[in-house]
Amino acid sequence: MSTLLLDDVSKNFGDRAAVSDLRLECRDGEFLVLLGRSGAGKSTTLRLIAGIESPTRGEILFDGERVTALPPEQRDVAMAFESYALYPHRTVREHLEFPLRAPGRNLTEAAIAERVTQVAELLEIGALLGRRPTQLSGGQRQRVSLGRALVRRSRLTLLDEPVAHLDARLRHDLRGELKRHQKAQGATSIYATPDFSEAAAVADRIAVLVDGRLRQVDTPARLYDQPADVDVALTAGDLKMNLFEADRVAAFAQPVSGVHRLGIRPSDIRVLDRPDPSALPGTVYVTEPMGYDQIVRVEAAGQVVTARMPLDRGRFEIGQQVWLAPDWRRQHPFDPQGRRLGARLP
Amino acid sequence: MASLTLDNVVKQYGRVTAVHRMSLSVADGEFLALLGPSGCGKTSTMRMIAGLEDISDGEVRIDGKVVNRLQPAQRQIAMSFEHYGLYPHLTLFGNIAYPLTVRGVAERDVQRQVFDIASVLHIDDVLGSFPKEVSSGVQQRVSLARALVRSPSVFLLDEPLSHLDAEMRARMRGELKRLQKAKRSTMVYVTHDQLEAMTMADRIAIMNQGRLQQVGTPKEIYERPANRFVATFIGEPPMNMIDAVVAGGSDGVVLRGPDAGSVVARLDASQSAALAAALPAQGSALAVGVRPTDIDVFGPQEGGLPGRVRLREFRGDDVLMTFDAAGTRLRAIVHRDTPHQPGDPVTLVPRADRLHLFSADSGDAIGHTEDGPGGSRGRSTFLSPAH
Repeated sequence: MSTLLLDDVSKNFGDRAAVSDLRLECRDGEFLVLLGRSGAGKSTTLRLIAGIESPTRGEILFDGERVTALPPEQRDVAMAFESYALYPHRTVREHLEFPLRAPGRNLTEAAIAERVTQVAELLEIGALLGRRPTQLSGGQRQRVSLGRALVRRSRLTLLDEPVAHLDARLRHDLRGELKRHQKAQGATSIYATPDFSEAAAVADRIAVLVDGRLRQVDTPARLYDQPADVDVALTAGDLKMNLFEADRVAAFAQPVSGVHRLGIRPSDIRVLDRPDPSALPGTVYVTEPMGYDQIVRVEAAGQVVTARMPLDRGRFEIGQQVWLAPDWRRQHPFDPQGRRLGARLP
Repeated sequence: MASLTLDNVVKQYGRVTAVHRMSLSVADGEFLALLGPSGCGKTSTMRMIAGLEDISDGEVRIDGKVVNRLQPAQRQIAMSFEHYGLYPHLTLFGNIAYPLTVRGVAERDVQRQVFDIASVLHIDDVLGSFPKEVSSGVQQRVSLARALVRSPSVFLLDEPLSHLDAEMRARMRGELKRLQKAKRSTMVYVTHDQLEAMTMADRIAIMNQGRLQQVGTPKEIYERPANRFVATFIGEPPMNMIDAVVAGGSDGVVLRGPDAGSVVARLDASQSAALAAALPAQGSALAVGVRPTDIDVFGPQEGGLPGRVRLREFRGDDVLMTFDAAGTRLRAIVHRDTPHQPGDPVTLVPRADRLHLFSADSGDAIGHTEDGPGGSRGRSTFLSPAH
C-alpha cells in the first residue's frame, strides 16, 4: 500500500451528523492517529474507511482508486475494533491463524507459525496460545482481537482504541511496540484514541476530530506548539491548557491586538511563594505531587489555574498565598471565535 | 476522627495466608493510601478493618480501642466500596441523605450537607434521579458522598474513583484531597493506581503478596524505595533495572554492566565510602535501579552502556526514549530536541548520584547514592528552555 484519501466525506445517522466534510490524506507507511473525545467521530471515520458504513456524501480512495462502493471484504483492510467477537470454541492460536488460512493466502505452515509467534510475543500473549476466550481476562481478549488484525499485514490496518482495556503499564509498553511493528512491516495504520499522550507517543501525524469535524492534522510537536483553535488546544496536552480572558491579564501578558483569550500550558507557569508585582496573586487550591514533579492548582484571576513544576522548587499548602508567573512569551493567542491568531487552516 | 492501628494482623483463608503479620498505624487526620497490585492483600486488609472479615490473628484498634469483635456498624467507620450497593428505591438525594436522616438530623441541615458534598463531587444536578437512571461513574460518586456526609472515626474508601473517566478522576482526586484536609478526616484509601496514591496520600503503605513492603511519604517511597518491587511499582515510566557486577577502580567502586567493557556507573570516593559496608564483595552481582529522568544519552562513545534506540515517544515538553541496552530495555526521558532516532546507536550514562542499589538475591535495597534534600536535583526535563 497504499495511500488513503477521504474526499469531503460526511456521514449522517438520521439528522445527526456524525462526521462532516472530512478531507484527510494518509500516506503510504504512515502511522496516523485520530484524536478526539468520545463521540467526536473517530469510530465512525474508521468504519467508513473499512466499508462497514457508507458515506452520506464524499468518496474514499485507496491509491487513487475509489473504493466507496466496495464492501469491506474487498478492501483488504485489517481492523481491530473495540467490540471484538471471539469464537468461544477456538484457541487463541486458532484465532491468530485464522486470517492467514483464508482462501487466496498461500502461506506455508511454518510461515503461519512464525507470524503467530511473532505477534503473540509482541502482544505478550505467547503463554496463552492454548487457551480459549472464556479462560482469558478482558485485556487478554482485547489483545487476541488486536493480534488477528496484525497477523494479516494488510495494505491498511485500522485500530480503534486497541489498548484501552489494558492496565496502565501494559498500555504504555504496548503502544510503542505496536507502532514499531507496523513500521517494520511498512504497514499503513490509522489508530484512534481519546488520549493525547497515547497519540503523541506513537503518531507520525495526529488528526484532531472535534464534533465530527477535522480541526487540525499535524505532527505531535506542531500540534502541541501551535494548536489551531481552543478545542484543539484543550485536547492536545496531557494536562489541560489554562485559558485566560485577555483583558483580565492584559497588564501582565501584553497580548497583541485581536486576542480574546490566551492559553498557557501548566508547564509554562512558575508558582512563587513571594509577592511579585508582575505575577498573578492567588491561593493554593490543591497540590498533587507526582515523583519529581508536582501539579499545583491555584485560584487566581477568577479561576483555578493549573501549574506543573519540579517538586524541589517548593512545597505548598492548601490555602497558601502564592503568585503565578506564567511565561507569557509562550502564550497561545485565540480570537473571539476561538481560532489561533495567525493559524494555518487544516 | 480517630487513629487506627493494625497490630500484627493476619488473614488466613483455610491454608492460604492472604495477609501476613501486618502492622500499621494511621494517625488521627491522616490520609493513608493502601497501595498494591491486584491480589496483594489490600482488600482483605480493608475488610478486616471494616469488620466485613474476621481477623485471623492480631488486633485492629480504633483510638486505642480493640474492635476485633465489633460489628461493622459499631466500629464508627464509613465506607465506600467499588460495588457498595445504593438503595434502588431512593433517589440519589435520598441515598446520600440516608445516614443523616437515620440519625435524626434536622431536615434543613440534611439538605445543606447533601448539597454541599454533592456539589464538590459534581453530582448536584442529578440528585432527583434514581440509581438505575445514572451512569456507574455517578453511582460511584453517590456511594462516596454517602460515606462522606457521615462523621465516623475512620473513612475506608476502596477504589472510589475507578469508574470515572480519566479527566473526572483527576478532578475528583483534588476535590477529595481538599475535603479530607478541610475535615481533618482519618482516611484509608485503597488503590492499585500508584499515581493516585502518590498525588493524594500523606503516607503510602505498599503491599505485595500479602506483605507490607514499605510505609512512607510519597517522597520517601519515590526516592528511597525499600526493595525492587517498590522501586519498579512506583513511578511511570517505571524505574530501569540493570544487572551489574561490583568491581574495584582506582578512585572507587565501578559497577560493570552485562556487556564486556560496559559501565553502569563509577562511584566517586565519598559515594564508595558511604556504601562500602553495604555493597557485596567484588565480583558479586547487584541490581542497579535508575529512573528514566536520571539517564543521560550520548552518541556512541567510550564508557557507559552501549545501546540502540528502539522507540521515541513525544510527550509535549520532552521525549521518552526506549533503548535496547544492557541486555534489556532501558528508558530515558530527554529533551525534545534530542537528535537520536529509532535505530541509532547510543551510549547511556546513568547518573552516579541517582542510583538505587538492590541485592541480586533478595531484592532489598542496599543503598541509594542520591544527594540529600539540599543536593543538586539538577536537570529538570519539564521546564521550557526559557526557564
